[in-house]
Amino acid sequence: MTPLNPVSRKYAGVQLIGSAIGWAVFLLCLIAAAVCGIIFDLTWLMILGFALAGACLVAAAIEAIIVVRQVRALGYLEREHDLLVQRGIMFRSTTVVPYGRLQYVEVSAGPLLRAAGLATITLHTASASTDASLPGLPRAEAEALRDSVAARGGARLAGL
Amino acid sequence: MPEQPHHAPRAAAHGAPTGDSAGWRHVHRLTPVLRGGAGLLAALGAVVVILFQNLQSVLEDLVVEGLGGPGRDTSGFGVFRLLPTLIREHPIITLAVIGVLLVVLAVIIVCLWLSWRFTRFRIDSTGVYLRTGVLARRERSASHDRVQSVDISLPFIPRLLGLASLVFDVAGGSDSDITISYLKRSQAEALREEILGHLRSGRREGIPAHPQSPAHQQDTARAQGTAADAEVPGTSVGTATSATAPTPPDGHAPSTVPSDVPTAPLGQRLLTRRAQELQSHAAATVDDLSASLRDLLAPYRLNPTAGEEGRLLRVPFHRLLGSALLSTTVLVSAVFVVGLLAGIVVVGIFVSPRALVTTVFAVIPGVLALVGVLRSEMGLANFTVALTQDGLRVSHGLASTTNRIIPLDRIQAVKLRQPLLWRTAGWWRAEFTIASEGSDGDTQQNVLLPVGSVDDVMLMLGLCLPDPRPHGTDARSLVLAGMLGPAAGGPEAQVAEPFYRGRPRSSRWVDPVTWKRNAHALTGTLSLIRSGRLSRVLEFVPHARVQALTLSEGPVQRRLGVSTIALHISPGPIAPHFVHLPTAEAQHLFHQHAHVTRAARIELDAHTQGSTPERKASS
Repeated sequence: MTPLNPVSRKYAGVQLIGSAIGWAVFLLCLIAAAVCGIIFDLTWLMILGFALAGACLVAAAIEAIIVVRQVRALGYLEREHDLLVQRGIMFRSTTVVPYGRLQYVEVSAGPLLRAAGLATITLHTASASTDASLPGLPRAEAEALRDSVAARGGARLAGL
Repeated sequence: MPEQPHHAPRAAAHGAPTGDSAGWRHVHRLTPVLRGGAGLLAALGAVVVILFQNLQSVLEDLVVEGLGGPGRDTSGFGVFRLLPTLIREHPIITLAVIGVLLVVLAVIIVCLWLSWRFTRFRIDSTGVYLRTGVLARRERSASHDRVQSVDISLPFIPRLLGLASLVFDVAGGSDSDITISYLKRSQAEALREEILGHLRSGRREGIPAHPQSPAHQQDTARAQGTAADAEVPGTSVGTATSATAPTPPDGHAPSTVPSDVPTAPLGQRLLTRRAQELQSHAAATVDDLSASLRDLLAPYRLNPTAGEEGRLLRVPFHRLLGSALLSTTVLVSAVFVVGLLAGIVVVGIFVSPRALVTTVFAVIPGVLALVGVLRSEMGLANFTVALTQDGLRVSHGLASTTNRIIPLDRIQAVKLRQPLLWRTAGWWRAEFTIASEGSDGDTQQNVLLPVGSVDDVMLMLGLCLPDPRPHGTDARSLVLAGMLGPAAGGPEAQVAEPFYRGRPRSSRWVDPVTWKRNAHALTGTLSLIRSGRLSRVLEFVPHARVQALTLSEGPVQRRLGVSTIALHISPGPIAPHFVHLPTAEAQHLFHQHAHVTRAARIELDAHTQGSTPERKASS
């Protein structure tokens, strides 16, 4: 099979920043608790705070590795009659969306994604369970993909 | 982009933020205020009022102290009268408070303005596009042929201001509408006309590809009796269809009106030829109907007769009652109630008779659950199925009768289910999924047959599903094997058992109970998916109705060497999966099935376009 088109490497960075913000808030709270423990001479609070903060750092590191691997595993392929979207390493899934089944296509981008010049493209079929979203494509590529997919959808239009 | 000139200067004047102003238009300026901005402003107002009222006494004390004398004013907003004094006495605090309030107000207004500024839409000859969001931006687009209907919706408050929203109904999940709100009502109406115009021109481009002229087609349709008449009512009656599809006021060309209705993918006729045959006969004599019914149900080796008014079958009341009493829910709640009663008796005897009085109340929820289930099942009493021009007419209800038309050509999948206790009676329940925008929570909507024998069920299958075209066996055996197999079932079912593809032994670790029964069979037009051990389940998915496919594999599955294929169909009670297939086989089937479903779809569409004049040829 032809190799899949990967998403932008920058998307891993975006994901990392996003999760780092979440972890940082958590970590600050824990460190604040630990500092309180030092100030008020509560040894248990200090130990607990630092221990949890350490655990937090480890968890964040693991998540970072997973996120980077997940982003590498994302890929898509425009085939003759359908679009193939692949994701996941642990929970691997491949989705085939025939162009003729497309109802509409959505291109969206959150603030972080947009700052990195990326976008998410989502293909919607009449089935609610189809999760054919592809995050982290460069904006131009996402728009080109949307246009080409929409054009093919129009050409191969099928009824429900 | 073909754009109406009087809109263009407007878009240019406002200058779209990203610069690509071609054809992008703004919604009405009041929109953000109406969509939540009003709430924000009201909240701010409330905060101000509460702040001032609570602070009033404090402020007065301050002022009074400052003035060094009496003269309290306790009325209303005395604080405003005190304001000059306050500013004189405590200028920094007062100005800071007012300043903060003004800044908050300004921020809200700027946010609302930004929200308005970034909400833009575009309608051109290809489709409709909507962009929203300041920070998290979304762009939705749908081509015209995907739009089921264009509605103008008038919510209460915007309506008072002469505003309306334009709703594009697109098939799919719950939030699949594209809603442009708000616009001036006249503008919304003009836009709808414009869209209908695009649709019309799109159709016109499509028509030359058709071998026949529209007029000719209408003649042929008329020659087919009521068949063509069934097309139009079939789209406006029943649970599934959009009754809101607007018909453009196009009085001068009445012959083109049907082709202007912008409900693009209307009923696609899976059963087309047969259904029309049936439908045309339904209006004719009952004998003819029975004859074509026999023809249709031949694969299932059934020989049904239609009663008066095309009535096919009626579920007797005693059977429904029996099935309700034997259902799992009732069984569980009955066991619960009995167990509780026994417990109460034990407590009463061995502990104290006094405890008995209080614990009796614990039975009440159990009894209520029982009554609730029975009552909801009684909603399906007097279940009658009849064949009409528009599809199946189903009526049910004890006190009030509910009538529904199920357009047969819009059925996406059928599921048969047999709860454990129905086995001895040989009863089955049939449910279906239909292509429809909003599938609400009413489960009775999806019941095809509340309870019936194997033959009743097969009758419904014959009506709802395409000709199964099995390879090497007959449909009845195949369905029987799916219903009863793998071990049970008579010789008739055993004949077809080899046609079911079972699951590898390794899948018992992920599916210990049902792995032996899990299987699927593929025919020329259908996937049959067998599952469920105690409560038996058999699902039918026509290849032509599969929207998309997903092949997935979790860590445990990978260790066992199995993968699952999900077939995505319209939302409803049926979610078909080929579970736990050996990985290599799954991968092969996944790609093969993508081709099979595509071919089936093309066949279906060819069928549909050959017989439905108002469908646009896929250019």
